[in-house]
Amino acid sequence: MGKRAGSRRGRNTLPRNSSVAETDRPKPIHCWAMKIGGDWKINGDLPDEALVISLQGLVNRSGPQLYLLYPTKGYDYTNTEAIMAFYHKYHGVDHKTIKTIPEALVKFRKYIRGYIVYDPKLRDSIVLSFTAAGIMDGVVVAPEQIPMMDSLGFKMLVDFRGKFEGMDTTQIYQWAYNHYWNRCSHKALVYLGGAEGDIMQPAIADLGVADRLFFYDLSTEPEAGTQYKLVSMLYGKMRPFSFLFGWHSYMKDTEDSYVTLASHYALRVEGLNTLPNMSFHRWIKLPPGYKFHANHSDLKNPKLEKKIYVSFIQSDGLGLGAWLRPGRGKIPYAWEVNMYWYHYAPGILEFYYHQASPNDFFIGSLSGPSYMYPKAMPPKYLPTALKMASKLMKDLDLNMFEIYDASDSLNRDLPKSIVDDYFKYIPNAIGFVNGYGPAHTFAVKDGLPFISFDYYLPPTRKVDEVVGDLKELATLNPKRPYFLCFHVREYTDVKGVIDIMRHLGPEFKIVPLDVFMKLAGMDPTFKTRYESTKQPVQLFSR
Amino acid sequence: MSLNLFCPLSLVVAFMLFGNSFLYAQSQGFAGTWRFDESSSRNVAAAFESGDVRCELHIIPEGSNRMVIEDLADTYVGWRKTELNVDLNGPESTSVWPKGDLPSFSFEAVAIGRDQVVKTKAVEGKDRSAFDLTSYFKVLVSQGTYNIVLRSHYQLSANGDTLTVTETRNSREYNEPAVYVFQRVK
Repeated sequence: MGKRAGSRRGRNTLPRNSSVAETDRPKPIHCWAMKIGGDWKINGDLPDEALVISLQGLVNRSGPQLYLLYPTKGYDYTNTEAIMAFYHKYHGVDHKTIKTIPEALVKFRKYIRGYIVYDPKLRDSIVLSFTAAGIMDGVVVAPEQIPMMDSLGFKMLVDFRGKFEGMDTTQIYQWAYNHYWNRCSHKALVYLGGAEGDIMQPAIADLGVADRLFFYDLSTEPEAGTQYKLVSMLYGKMRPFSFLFGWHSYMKDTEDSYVTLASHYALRVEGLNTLPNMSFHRWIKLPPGYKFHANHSDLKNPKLEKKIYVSFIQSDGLGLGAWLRPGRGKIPYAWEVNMYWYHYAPGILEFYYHQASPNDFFIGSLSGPSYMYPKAMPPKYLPTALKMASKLMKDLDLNMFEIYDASDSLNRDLPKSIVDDYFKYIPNAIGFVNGYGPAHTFAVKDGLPFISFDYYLPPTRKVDEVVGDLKELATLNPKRPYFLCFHVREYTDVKGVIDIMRHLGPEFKIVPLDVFMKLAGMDPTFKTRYESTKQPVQLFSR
Repeated sequence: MSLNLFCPLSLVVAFMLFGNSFLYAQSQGFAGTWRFDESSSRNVAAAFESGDVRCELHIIPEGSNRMVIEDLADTYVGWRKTELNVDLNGPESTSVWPKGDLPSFSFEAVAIGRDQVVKTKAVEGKDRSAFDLTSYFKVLVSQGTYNIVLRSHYQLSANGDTLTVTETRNSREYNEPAVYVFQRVK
């Protein structure tokens, strides 16, 4: 197991990895908190959840007033309580609890012009009711909540019940476009996808309502015909490098098709639809002079041995996965940083930088300043995207960068021209990692490695199978040192990874990612390889 | 012509006349569409991060003792087909595989390069409901390439509805081999 050195620590009373005097801390913030989280079913708890989330968007427009506490288990983001505790300790955020929806509606009455009624039989009407909520300053309600709203004196702003009968999804969003687009802010869009069917998890909608964004649920698969044309038209109306929040629909299209289409318009994808409290976080400012300090190893004289060097990166960004679960800090581990939070939610990043143990390393991601596919992006935008990423890395004290491109669904590799662009436009990186599952792009330039993942740990693989896989990789790659970059899906916690590594012999050595990069650059035993000239693999229709 | 000589010769003639058709019948026994049965399989992965999902085998008799085994993975954008030419008890046969992930490996750090030639030797089992297939090919790994010898045992169930493929390869130590189970699609 590796050791790291050279971490920086702040004073005891300050968040670790920060460098700011306590007197510079902002003034106390008094806010309200509500618990949220049920079954997210359209005919179950969603009416309450959607109402509260839309309300949160309205009231947080003018300040951090309403924070939602999501479940600490069984939800994508289990960190809402931990972040609030951090805000309380280091940002002077105090909260009182609101227990009921009527209580919240009364308390925040002045922010609510009325309500929008969606049609529970039509999912798309729920999606576009969030658009309407943003531009009309209303909350989203189900029909059964109308009596409550009326009894509290709120007026109905729109009623979507029966409004879209006989219309298909494309026609509904075309209608929304015709009626609402010009009243929306166009700095971002919200794809309210994710879980589908009778489930909807619209946590990101607070941000969309607060910013009066346009919501949609349109397939990004070219085969989707009119839906694809309409969503392409929407993307085409956005300025390059605008944000796409939310997430693709698990029943309509794929992550690959979504990010590919977004990248074609040089848009920045930021997931997920389940990401909570974004309308609140942006109000939590970093203290004046605050600088992010990530952990860095001492790379002056690393010892190169004839070992199998293993370095771990957890997938899918901060906020998801194993950070709050057992084992973190026991072995060197790298975490993908959602770099856009530097502008959108710096307090969350501060939380993670503060909590980072000496064994927690950060890596910039993903492919650009946000999640983008470089091969799908118009070439004229790639240098700008990489410069933006490079700037964010400097701001966040990051010196390693991760790339993933699934725009070619059968190939995760990059051509030499794009690899060269990463070296050129992110000169502050000491190394790059490519892929999600394993890929085969490897290069070295001026002692800096560009490495692909050699192993991906899915949630379903058993310990003995993984051990067998790793031993087989050691056979398949017989030269030593062998550099085995290991991507861990966020469902596996660090303790699980430690359990796997215990079955391997002393030839396997876990090192921090920056040490791994340094050593790989010193003795690149991997073979330089790029995406070969495009030769489409013949596929057959199902 | 003496009777002593006639008997062996007649057997040879009989074999020449009917033997091939018997082998043909055997390959017919394997012939068909086989759906991957993940729950019955062991030490294998059905789905990959790339989106490929192991789905079906198509075994297509090609006359005499030859057949083609099509291994189909479902991808986001269509079927990806790996074809293997098999000549039961015949000489070594060759196939060309498409580049990409390799279904036989349960992880994705190995891949097939472009136009990879696979050499195959197939030997039928005694009970004729099984055969052993040895495949020789090269895979891409991060340090270059590696020569794989993949041994696959194809076994039909007594009723002919289940096909079990047991695999080992030279690059891996096994506590238990990988066992792929397929059910016949009727």
